[in-house]
Amino acid sequence: MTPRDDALSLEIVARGVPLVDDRLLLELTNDLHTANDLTRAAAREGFFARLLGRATGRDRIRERTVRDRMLSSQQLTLRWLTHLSERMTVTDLVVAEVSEEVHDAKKRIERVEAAGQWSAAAIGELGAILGRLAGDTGRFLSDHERRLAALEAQLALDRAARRWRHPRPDPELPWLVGAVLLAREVASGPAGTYAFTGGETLMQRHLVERMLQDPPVPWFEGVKSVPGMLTSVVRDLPSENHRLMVAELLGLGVADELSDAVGPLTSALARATELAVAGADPDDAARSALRDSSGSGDLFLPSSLSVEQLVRRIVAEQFAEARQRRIRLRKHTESDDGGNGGGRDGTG
Amino acid sequence: MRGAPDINDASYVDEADGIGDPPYPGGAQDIARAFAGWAARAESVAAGHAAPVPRARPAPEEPGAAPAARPAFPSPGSLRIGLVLAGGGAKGAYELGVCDYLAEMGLEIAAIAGTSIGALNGAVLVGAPDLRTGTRRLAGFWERFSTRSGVTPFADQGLPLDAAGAAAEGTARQARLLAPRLLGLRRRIGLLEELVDEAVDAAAIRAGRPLWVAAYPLVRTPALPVRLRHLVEVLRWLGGAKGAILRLNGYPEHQIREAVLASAALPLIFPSRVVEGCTYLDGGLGGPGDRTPVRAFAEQEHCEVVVVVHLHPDAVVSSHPAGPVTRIDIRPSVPIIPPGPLGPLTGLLSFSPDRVQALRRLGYRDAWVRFEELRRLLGVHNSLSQAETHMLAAFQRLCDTPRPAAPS
Repeated sequence: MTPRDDALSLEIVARGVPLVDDRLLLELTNDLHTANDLTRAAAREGFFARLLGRATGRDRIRERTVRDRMLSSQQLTLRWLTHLSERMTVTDLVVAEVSEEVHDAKKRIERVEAAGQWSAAAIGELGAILGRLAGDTGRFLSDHERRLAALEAQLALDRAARRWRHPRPDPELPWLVGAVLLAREVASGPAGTYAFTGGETLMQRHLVERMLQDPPVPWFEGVKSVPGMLTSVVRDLPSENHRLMVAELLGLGVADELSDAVGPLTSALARATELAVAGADPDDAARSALRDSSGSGDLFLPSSLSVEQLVRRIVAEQFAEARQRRIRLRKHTESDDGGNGGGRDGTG
Repeated sequence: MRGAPDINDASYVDEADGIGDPPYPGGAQDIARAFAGWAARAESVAAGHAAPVPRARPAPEEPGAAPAARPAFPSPGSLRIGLVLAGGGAKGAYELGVCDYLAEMGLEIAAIAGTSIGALNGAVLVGAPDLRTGTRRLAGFWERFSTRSGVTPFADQGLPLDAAGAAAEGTARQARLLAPRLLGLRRRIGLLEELVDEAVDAAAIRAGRPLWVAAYPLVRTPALPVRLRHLVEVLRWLGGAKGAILRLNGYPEHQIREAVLASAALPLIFPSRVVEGCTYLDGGLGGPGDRTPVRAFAEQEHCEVVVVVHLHPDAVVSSHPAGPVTRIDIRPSVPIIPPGPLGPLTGLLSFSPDRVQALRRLGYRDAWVRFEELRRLLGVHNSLSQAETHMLAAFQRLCDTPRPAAPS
């Protein structure tokens, strides 16, 4: 607020309001009291006092004094009113300035409110845009994550297949065992995780194709009997340790609560090697294992299989067992999260 | 706040410390504060725009000045209050009541002027260190003088009370008691002188606050026979001879006593007194202006406020402009002169204890009413000024607050 240039500047007016008002009030009061006292005294006078007063001129002096005091009080009243007017001028000017200030503040508030409303709308739009962007980015990232997972699965599958293609000289595992272990490794790794999240058919197909196209040793022609293959595996395993190792790799000795549903071919292979470790004849072990492991429905196992059928069955059984294991682990994890704080009971 | 003190209230007992409970509980200092605030605010007025309250100037040097032990000149912020006490004989007890109230309010008087009984009252007050002590001494003086005035106990019993609360004497009674009162006073001149010697501290007056007394000078006519001299004085008086205003602080101590007694020397009752080679009688013999020497006194002592205590309800004030002096005139609210042709003389000579007490109570009450009105008036005005100050300060803060930039 800039100081006004006119003579009624607030500072000038404020300084110019004299503080002799108190004296003025005292004089005004005194004049009124004097006039009142003299008038009342005159009214109380008796006959002789009035006579004496007229004779001595006291009455005239008193009347003149009353008149002078009344005149003085009126003059002082006028001065007082003038002072009051000056003070009221200050007050009115201040009120006017404050009103102006309030008016300006009101305008500023209106402008700020308008700007605020615009900002709120713009922020809302920005929020919507950011939301869409976040959604798109999320989808984009999900797609990339999925592609990355698929790539990792494929790489893991390739690595496993290459190792299977170029095995180490030792331990000379039979080709059937190598195929089952390859499928088990792939199903347990990133490829199995990717298959668990929805890419199972693709991964199984890729593995089957790699196993059929690029085996370490050529596949057989036509079909082969399953008992014969099992017998060959048991007989071809070089030692008892190898048989025991194969049986354990395929789940022998794992507690029931930790084991999952195993396919009939895998189960028969594990059983046959187990029986061979126990001293059974390879033929008897194979036949007994098949009898124990196969059945109807999901446990049906044909007596003979072609290479393609064999490889598909091996891969399918391993992927199925891996899926069951992942489901069991997930349930176990979810039950642990739900009972968090209650403490585990130590099982498992 | 209680109402005005009842004039007939028996609680008005002449106690050692004053006249009783003040009618001003908790606010006895308001007038003093209002005056002090007035003086302080006068300081804050910017020079050149407001009419400043004049500052008291030191009194000019006078020949034969009093010794060096003068009180320090008051600081520019304080207010100089003068007290003028009119003459009127026994009616002077009214002035005692006014002083009771002023002392209870805590006002301090810078200078006193008095005529006749007013000069005597003023001399007792000025010789005291403060107004409260002075009023106590003055009350003791009046009590002793009135109780030894020759009035028998219960002399006024049965008489009706007038508006002032004193026994209303009819003309017959006044006439019967006139001569005894006159002669009684003449016989008690020794008592008066004794009480003046006790109550008036001349040494303190020489070293203390200014004291002015009005006295009526007699001309020196040694060549004329005594009776002709009296005739000359009567003719002078009828011709309107003026009185003299004496400032006693520069006089020797024994002359101060003489000057006080001279101002109260009622003709035909008390002897004239010689002061500095001039013979004086009662100052009331001078004109109306001499009975209340306001203007000369105020101008000489540079008082901003002068409280004038009149002893006549129709005491006329000078028509001269008061100048920078603000007057507060206190007059009896009811007649204190008994009715009838002998009323003025009775009022002058009747020192009965009951009458003295009644006039004292009236003086206290009238002072209370007057100052209470002033207190309310100044209080309201002060509130207005404070509100205005707050308003201007708030407005200044509003002006000083930087305005935020408008949003683009």
